[in-house]
Amino acid sequence: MASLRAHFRESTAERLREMTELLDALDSDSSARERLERHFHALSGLGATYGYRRISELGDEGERTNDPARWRELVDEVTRALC
Amino acid sequence: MRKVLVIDDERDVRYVARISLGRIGNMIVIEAASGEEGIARAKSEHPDFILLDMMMPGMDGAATFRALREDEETASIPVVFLTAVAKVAEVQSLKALGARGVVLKPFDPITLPGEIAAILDA
Repeated sequence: MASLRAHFRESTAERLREMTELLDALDSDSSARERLERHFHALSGLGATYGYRRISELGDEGERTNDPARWRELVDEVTRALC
Repeated sequence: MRKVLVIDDERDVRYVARISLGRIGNMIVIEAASGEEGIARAKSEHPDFILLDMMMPGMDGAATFRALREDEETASIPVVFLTAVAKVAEVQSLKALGARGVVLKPFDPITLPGEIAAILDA
């Protein structure tokens, strides 16, 4: 399980970078919103699978909200939860 | 040794499935990141069964399943769907069309091989 968690931390860090870029591009990229929603969906499922329950909860909230400001906060919270 | 084809657009799902089914389940694991790639790999690799994600961009799990069923090269390969709880009702309808079973996300990598075996051996 330790190797799985290490993989998840590395992969999620990369995912969070992409999510931050997508948040910055919401006004200019018509696909950004859908791609962000997919990332939150992934965090919701993968967080639980890899043993990061808090990240799963944050991903679940991200799926349910439609507020870009709250999405940014959630990305920050996931970053903190990874540490 | 069973050979499984895992079709999921999420790299992290394919990774944990590979660890779970490969190391714990002692299976040969083949991966595909899309429905189209999955269909091609099913034809070239002849897996014993397919673990298929429902939610994929472009060709989703349902469309991939129907395409596998419509091709005589892949029609007889058992398919087990991977899906989140909210989609179970939709998957039940696909079971009626021939899907072997459903594994819910999030799954436990430790117990996944046993879940799969129970579905396939039922």
